[in-house]
Amino acid sequence: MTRLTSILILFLLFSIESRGQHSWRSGLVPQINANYKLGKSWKINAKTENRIRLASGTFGKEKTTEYQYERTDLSLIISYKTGLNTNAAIGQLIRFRGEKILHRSIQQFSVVQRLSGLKLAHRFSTDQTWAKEEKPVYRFRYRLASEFPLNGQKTDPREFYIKLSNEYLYISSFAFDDFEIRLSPILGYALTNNNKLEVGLDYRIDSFRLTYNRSSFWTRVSWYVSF
Amino acid sequence: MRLSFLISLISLGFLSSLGAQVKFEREYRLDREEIPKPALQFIEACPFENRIKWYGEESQEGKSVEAKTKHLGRKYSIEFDTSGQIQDVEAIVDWEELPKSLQEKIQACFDSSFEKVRIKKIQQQWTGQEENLLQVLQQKPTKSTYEIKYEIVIKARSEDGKNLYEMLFSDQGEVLRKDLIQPDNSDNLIY
Repeated sequence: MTRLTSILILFLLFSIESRGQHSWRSGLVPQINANYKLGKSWKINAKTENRIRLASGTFGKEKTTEYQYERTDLSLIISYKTGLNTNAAIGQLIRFRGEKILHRSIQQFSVVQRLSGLKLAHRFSTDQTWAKEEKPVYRFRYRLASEFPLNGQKTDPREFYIKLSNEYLYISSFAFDDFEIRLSPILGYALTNNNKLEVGLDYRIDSFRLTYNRSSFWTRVSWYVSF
Repeated sequence: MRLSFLISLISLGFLSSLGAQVKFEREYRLDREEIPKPALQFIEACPFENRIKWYGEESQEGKSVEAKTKHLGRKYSIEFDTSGQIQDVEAIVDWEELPKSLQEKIQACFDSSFEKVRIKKIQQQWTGQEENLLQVLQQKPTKSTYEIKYEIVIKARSEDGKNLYEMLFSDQGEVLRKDLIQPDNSDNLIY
């Protein structure tokens, strides 16, 4: 998987280079992620996430430094434990972007594997986004996330861990089809088993359909809490 | 056959009287300076060639120090108390390596306690005198006695739903302990 990802990144960098234009943007994404258990098998996940752009530009050319609030996402997902390590979930997200409001329906299935000194989570999901005066957008996603404890065989309370995630998205709408790839190295700290803080980079590359690509470098600060 | 039935029955009674307590375990890496001297001396006398990783462990049974390594293709874990006195030696084994009669007794216990069982991990556990355990690790024939137990992690389905358990069996197939393993929180990997 690591070798495949490296080859893919090299291929992407080569193709980006050959296409010339490559814009970028960076900023901050603070997130609060709360999970509430409903009985033995059901769980509710509520998330709020803001995105603030701090700089943007084109590689090798001009750069603009700016503080610009971009959007706020609110989502509510209900999940059902289908097995010891599997979950099926559906939910809804509302995105506030300026005066525009987007609605997104989410369906996902996840599998968690607990290996010796490593935890892997596979997430398969689809979503559909609607907004006023815009064509609907359909996305098909796969994400592989891994967690490596920095002390011992598993992450215990008051211990740091590394979280690496890699996601592939196929985006389809009536107007266009596109790909997006995300890579995210994160440093986490478990205050307790149900209370975790994370900070790290969320790198995204998209706009493969255009004659230029766009890279995004978001600094992600997340708080995960479960009740 | 009658004996195995009796053992299964005793095991079952013991199991239900025990119920399943929730397993608690915290493990963290230790530096060489933090390891008790007798524990270091024991490991140095072992024929291990691969790197030894040292861990501190806290569980319901108290604190302990653990050395983990791979030797001749098998994963070993040697547990000491905090003063460095050896407590047990554990090695990961396959189901097929268990004596046939023991397999039957354990299987009978699973069949009577659960609807469906999948074995995730088996650890053979030796307890006894330090010199006997050293002989076990050095694979030298020993006339001395030591006790063998089997720690088995299973994924099981019962009327309580699907759960992970860690069960400790004697070499006669008696259930000595049954712990429920609570899966740790993975919300940060899913969302």
